[in-house]
Amino acid sequence: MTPPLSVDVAVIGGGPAGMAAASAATGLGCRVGLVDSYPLLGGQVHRQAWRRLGAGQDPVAGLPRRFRGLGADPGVRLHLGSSVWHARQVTGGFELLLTTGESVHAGAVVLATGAVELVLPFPGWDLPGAMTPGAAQALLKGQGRLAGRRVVVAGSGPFLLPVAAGLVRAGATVVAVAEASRLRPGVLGRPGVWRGLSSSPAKLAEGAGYLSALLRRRVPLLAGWAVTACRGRSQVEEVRLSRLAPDWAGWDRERWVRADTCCVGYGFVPSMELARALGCGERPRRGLPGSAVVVGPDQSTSTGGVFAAGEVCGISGAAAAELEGLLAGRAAACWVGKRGGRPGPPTASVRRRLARQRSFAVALEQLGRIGAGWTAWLEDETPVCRCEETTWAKVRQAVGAGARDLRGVRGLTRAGMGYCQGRVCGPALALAVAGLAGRGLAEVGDLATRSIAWPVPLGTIAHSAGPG
Amino acid sequence: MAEGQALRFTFSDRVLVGRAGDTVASALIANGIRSWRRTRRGGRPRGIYCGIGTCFDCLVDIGEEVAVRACLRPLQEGDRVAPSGSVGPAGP
Ligand SMILES: Cc1cc2nc3c(=O)[nH]c(=O)nc-3n(C[C@H](O)[C@H](O)[C@H](O)COP(=O)(O)OP(=O)(O)OC[C@H]3O[C@@H](n4cnc5c(N)ncnc54)[C@H](O)[C@@H]3O)c2cc1C
Ligand code: FES
Repeated sequence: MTPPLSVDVAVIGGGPAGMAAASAATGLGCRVGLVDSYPLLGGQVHRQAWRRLGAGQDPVAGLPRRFRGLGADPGVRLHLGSSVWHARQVTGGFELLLTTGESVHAGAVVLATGAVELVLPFPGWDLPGAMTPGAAQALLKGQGRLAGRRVVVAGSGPFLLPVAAGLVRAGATVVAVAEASRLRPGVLGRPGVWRGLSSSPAKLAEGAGYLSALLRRRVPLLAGWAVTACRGRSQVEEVRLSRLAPDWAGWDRERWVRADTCCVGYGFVPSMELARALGCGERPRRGLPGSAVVVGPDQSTSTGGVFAAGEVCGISGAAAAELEGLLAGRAAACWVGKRGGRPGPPTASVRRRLARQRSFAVALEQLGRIGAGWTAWLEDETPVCRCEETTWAKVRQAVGAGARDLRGVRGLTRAGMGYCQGRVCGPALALAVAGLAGRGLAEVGDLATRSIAWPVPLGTIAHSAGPG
Repeated sequence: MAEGQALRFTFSDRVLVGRAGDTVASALIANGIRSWRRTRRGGRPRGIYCGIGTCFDCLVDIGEEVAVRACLRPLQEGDRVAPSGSVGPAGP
């Protein structure tokens, strides 16, 4: 095994949260190691075009200006194209094992691992051409390639709008954008909703920009509609749009539309593997599957020396992620005894801005909830787990046979045991099993406990001490 | 978006052209290929799904390397891409 590299602060994740944390910590005089699975910095929201890859190319040139200093900062060592597959506490700090075979020893850790998309299965969702909105977005931003020519964008949440707008701007025909939630009368009057929304005019303006791009091209925008099936011989050819009942347990109108691609996603789920490996306290998410890391005002977690920032602490958007990263980087520097160096914006003002961003996110969350009846659109033969091709009938049988939680269902059906280890089907399965078993989401548990956070060649495990 | 330099690669003996900045997945898609392996159990076609390395739907073999996620792998000149043999999940 290569001897460990030693840094003051290790930051895992190079999205807005991780980049802000690394900048803040190096600004206070820390030696920082910044690890990201991608070959370029930026994370999801600031994903750079990969044509920048290659000899002599700068891994920061396509980032917003405020992050570009990270490329040439002598205090920051970038480990790009490299994933942390295990993290553990050791004497004097933490040890991170990387898929490149390296290990990093750090006095403090900032977890900025982001989130993955929340998906709900539907008949035909495993046909080629059915994908997540993020997949279409990544193809477009990273590779400048269109996922398809005639695209339906559907699911729930504000992320659908930039994806659809990006596709039409790049020349695709967006057949429809379908948001499953409907603005229920009275929801704007709920405590905090109106105040939350009006706290961030910039975000509302951003949303309005996407909407106007879509309306200019006469893209139909449907509220209360969902993709409930798609079909085709060897790929998506037709997509069924249904106008949902209030709890989504059925529909009163449906329309089959011609499309070669459908992008369906229902928001995000925090990526918790490393937080769990490090024993950080978690909180359930209201009405949503998965959990988030609990943090204090300085982004500290319940594990001393571990800080968390960005979507791993809950879905609050890119601006909040960046502010949290700044706070986490400062707190991590303080933990390892570094306080000197460049002062940044005063902490109190950062916290004020963060509170505004979070109240916006909380308000948005109240506008869209996943309807409890969504499983009505599943058919017996619909695969719920894409890897093991476990059908919906098998899941129902397992609960009927007495499985009370996700581990029980996994044991009986193999759902969540394939290559992805339940990263894709786990959250939907939690919702479905909770519904079938009449239990709460917290009671059915999840599949996010994985001693290996990121797939790793077996040789790499053999050559390191392994996750003890 | 400025075009990257053309890169030649093969997929199951077809000679195809992608460009610098493509992943193996985006290059296949740009050539009209939307699925490139079949599942072990049902023999169902699979291509890209999550696009960010989470789902493992997009597995391919490249030269001697097996089970590579096509959505994460930068395309290289001369890549010999083949449907992933889908040997059982040795992985995590
Ligand atoms: C597919 C996808 C596309 C999105 N696109 C947009 C968009 O276009 N606009 C928008 O406003 N929001 C988008 N989002 C929402 C987005 O998550 C947030 O807006 C924002 O990017 C969150 O910042 P973050 O720093 O918390 O996480 P991210 O930006 O997700 O960054 C997390 C980083 O951590 C890395 N990472 C995770 N685990 C490991 C590990 N074990 N080892 C090494 N590195 C690791 C990942 O590679 C990633 O780069 C997207 C989300 C997803 C999942
Ligand atoms: S498309 Fe999901 S891992 Fe490549």
